[in-house]
Amino acid sequence: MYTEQAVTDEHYKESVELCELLPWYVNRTLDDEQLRAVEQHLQHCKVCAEDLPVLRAVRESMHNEPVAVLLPKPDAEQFLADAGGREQRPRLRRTVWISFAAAASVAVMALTMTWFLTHDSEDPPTLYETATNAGGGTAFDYVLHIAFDADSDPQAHDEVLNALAPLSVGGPDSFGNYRVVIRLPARSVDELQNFTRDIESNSSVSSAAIVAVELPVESR
Amino acid sequence: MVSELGILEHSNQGEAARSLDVRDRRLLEGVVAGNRDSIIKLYNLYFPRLFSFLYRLSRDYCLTEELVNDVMLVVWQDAEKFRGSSKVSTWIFGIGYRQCLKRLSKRRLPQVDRQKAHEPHFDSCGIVELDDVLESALDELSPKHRMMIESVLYLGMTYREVAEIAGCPVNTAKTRVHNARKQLRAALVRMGYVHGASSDG
Repeated sequence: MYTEQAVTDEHYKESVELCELLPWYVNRTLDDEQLRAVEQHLQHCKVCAEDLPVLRAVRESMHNEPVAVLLPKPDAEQFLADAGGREQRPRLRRTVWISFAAAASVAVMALTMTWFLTHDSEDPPTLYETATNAGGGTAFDYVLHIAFDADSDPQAHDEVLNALAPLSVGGPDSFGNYRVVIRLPARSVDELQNFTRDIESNSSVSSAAIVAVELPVESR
Repeated sequence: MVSELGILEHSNQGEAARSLDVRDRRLLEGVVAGNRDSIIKLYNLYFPRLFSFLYRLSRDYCLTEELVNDVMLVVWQDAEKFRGSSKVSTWIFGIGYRQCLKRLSKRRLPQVDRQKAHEPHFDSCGIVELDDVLESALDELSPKHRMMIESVLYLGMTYREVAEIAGCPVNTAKTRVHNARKQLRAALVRMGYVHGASSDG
């Protein structure tokens, strides 16, 4: 097939440009001028003259290879189905999806910003919103622990307790403390602190604190 | 004789290629316009050639099936990116070339058993089959070099097209093909397919 002497780079260095064109001479994609130049080159370049039948044999061998036997039948419908869209190009689908996702994100961000900028103190905090959503209710039963001054007027105690519109009142215990359950819309921690502070502002109350928050039974 | 035949064939091939490219461009325009039939036609037209090309490079049937679909998916998605400076087929095979190289670089190629590679099959008469010899020699090439040879001799690409799919200047493409050819030659010599060494030596 080859002469060993010919297997050197020396031949490639000569007329290297024409040597390089040999594969395209074999696949017949050179223009007329190049074709003639390569043919002339072949008459004196031993390496190319030896390579020519080899490259032709390779070309023929490649086309003879029984890949066709292995060739699966093209299934464009399956390809389209696998690509995720039978009617639209994936790019369009993706664009629509991305646009939708972007619009939704912007909307969510806008709503969140609006809420932060405009909500007043009565809006439920995230903590209680979560609890409310989880329970499906809108109000909680707050358990208040109220202590009155021992020497305060018991009538004043009743006024304070009644003002709270309690669901239930327990007490007084041996220390004069009351356990009062009131139902309120969800409140933030700050709001609850203000709420208890208001109760404490009554001269007869020594302390007021919320000790438990429970979902109303009917909302659970 | 050869020259006349060559020039004649070249001329006819050129015309045929141009005609096919016109058809492919129309189909690609249809794909850009969202025409479902266009992508189906393009898929059916290119499937056999792409499959053969990519199978010859990867030697992996399943991988080739995946690659063909990956390539056609890119064609479908990015049809509008075709600039029109090359033939549609060059653009598509370029995508295949890059996808295949990317996949092959992520895993080890099925290793060629050099011992076996040097022992080509014999037919019942004990005559070495030339196809086996050539195939063994091709198997010894690196994927890049093999792709160069395949692009020219199997796909019949011009050097400009090879440069296009390889994403390199024309002269670089010529040099790469030349180097691949030298490697092929060296592989054949290593395998002992050298005749007349003593007479020329």
